[in-house]
Amino acid sequence: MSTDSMLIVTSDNIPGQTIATTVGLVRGTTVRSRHIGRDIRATLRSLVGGEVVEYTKLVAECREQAIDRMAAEAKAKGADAVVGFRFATMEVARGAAEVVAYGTAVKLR
Amino acid sequence: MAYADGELYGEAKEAFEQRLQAEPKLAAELSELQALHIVARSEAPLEPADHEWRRLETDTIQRTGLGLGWILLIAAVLLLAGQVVFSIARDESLSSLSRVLMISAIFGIGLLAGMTLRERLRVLPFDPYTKVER
Repeated sequence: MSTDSMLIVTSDNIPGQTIATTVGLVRGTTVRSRHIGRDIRATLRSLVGGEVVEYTKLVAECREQAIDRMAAEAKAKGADAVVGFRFATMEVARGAAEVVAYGTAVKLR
Repeated sequence: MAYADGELYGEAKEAFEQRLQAEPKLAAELSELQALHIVARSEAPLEPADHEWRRLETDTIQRTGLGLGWILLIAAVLLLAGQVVFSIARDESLSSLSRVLMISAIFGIGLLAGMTLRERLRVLPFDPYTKVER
């Protein structure tokens, strides 16, 4: 996965590349919620079962924004890539999800 | 385009960011470009259910039913709120001060909600993540 020119991987190293230095921990965080209309539809959808697309979209938006913020921090610190990338999610309030994207920013040879 | 691709650096980047602050249309254009970029990298293959979802978006019965449902709900909520305000105003068992305070609280919440909605609508064109589906 790459946002702009930032290589982001879940492994601890990048095959074919050598890590020159470790820049440090980088992370991106966001908390988003659905508007009340989508919330009502999601509640009704949970009564009939199946995928709650409103919350699928919510988590997807959070995910992409958190990745972008993490990549921006890595870029600002002069890193070439992020290794050991992980997500953490939680519900902070009813209908609001927090996503944290984090990893280790590194410089490549 | 260079800024959207992360290829603008130093003084050129700073100058462009100053232009973004001064020119909302430019900021909206940048947001659209970023949204395309984000959607392109997160696009997942279509699933069988997606075809039915897309068909339902244009289905007349579905659109009419949803539209009518929302109109009825919003109208009922607004009329109920008006009725509550009217009932409080006419309730002789409450002191004048209590009535004024309760009505002020209702209008205060309404005003806060309105201003929050205004903020959201103003910022919405600059949010590149709203087009992400999954």
